[in-house]
Amino acid sequence: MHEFSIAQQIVDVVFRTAQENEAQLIERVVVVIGELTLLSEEQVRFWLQEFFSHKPISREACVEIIVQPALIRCSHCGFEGAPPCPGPEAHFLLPILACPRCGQSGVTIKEGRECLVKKITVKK
Amino acid sequence: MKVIEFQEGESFDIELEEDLLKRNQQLAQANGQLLEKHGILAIDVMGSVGSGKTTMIERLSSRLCQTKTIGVVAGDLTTTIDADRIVEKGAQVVEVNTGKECHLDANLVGKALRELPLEKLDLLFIENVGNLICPAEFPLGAHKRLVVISVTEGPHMVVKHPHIFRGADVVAINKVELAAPMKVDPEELKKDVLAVNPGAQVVKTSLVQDQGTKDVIEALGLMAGSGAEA
Repeated sequence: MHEFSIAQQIVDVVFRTAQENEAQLIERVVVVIGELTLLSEEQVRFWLQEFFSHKPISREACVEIIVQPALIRCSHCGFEGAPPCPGPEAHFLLPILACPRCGQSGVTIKEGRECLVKKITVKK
Repeated sequence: MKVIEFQEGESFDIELEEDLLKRNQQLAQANGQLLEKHGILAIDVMGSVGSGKTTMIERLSSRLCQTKTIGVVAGDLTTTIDADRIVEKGAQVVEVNTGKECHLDANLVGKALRELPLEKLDLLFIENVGNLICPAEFPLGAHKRLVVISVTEGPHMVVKHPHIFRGADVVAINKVELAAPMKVDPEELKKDVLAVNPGAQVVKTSLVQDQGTKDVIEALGLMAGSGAEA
C-alpha cells in the first residue's frame, strides 16, 4: 500500500528537478528498487504512470524500473554475495536472512534496500 | 550533486540518485538526535488495527505519569478517537491524521515533534497506523520498537507478517484472556516471534484487565524510578 506514497515522492522529485532545469517535457524516468525492499515494482509502476499521465509535461514519460539485486556480507565468515534465494521472492527471506555459507544470522545488507530516482531525461 | 550530460540535441539526462527510503532514514536520524538532545526516550508502538496499541499506551501512561511527563504522537488515517482517549490519561498528545497513508514516516513525526513541548517531556509514545506491513519499512527515530499483537488475529499472524517482528525490541501478545475460545496458543506465537527475532523480549498481556503492563514496562527498560513497581 505504501507504493502510493513512494510514487508520490518520486513524482515530487521528478517535477521539482524538471522545474529547476526548465524542462518542457519529461521523456524518461529511471527508478531503482532494491530487491529487499517491501515495494512491489508493478504497483510503483502503476502509480507513476497514473500520476504522470495527468500532466502534459510528463504524459509521454517512459517509466523504467531497475531492480537492484541484493548483496549481503556476513560478519562471521566474511562471505559477500547474493542471499540464498535471490530474485523477486528475496524479501520473504529478510526476517530470517542468514549467511548462505556459514548459516549465521549476523549479515549486513549492503545493497537491495534502496528506492531511488536514478535519472530523468528531459527536453528543454 | 546533479550531473548534466547532453544527449541527442535538446534532450538531456539529469542524474539524481535520490534515495527516498534513505531520506526517510536521515529524517529518522534527525528525529532521534532531537529527542536525545531533550533527554526523551521514544517508543514506536506498532501493530494491527484493534490489537490494543492505544490501550497499551493508556495503561503504560497511567502507570508512568506520576514520575514521567509523557507525550504521544497518535497516527491515524482520520478521527481523533485514539488521541482523545490518551489525553484523558494526562499525556501531551499530537494527533497525526495521515489521511491516505498506511504508515507514519519520519517526516510526519518530525512535524509532530515541533508541536510538542519537548523540553518538558521524558517519554514519548509514537502510535503508528494499524498495519503490520508498511511501518516496518519506515524507521521514525524512536529508540525502541514495541509491537502489540493479539490472539484474536489468529494462530499464523506472526509467520505471515515476519518483517515487523524483525526490528522489534519488545512484542506484547495481548488479549491472552481470549486465547482458549480463539483456540490460539500464545506460547506458539511467542515461538514464532523468537524464530524471526531471537533478541526480542516477548510479554503476554491482557490489557483490558491491566495484566502484564508491568512486564512491558520492565521489558522496555522504563522501570527505574518509574513508580511502576507498585
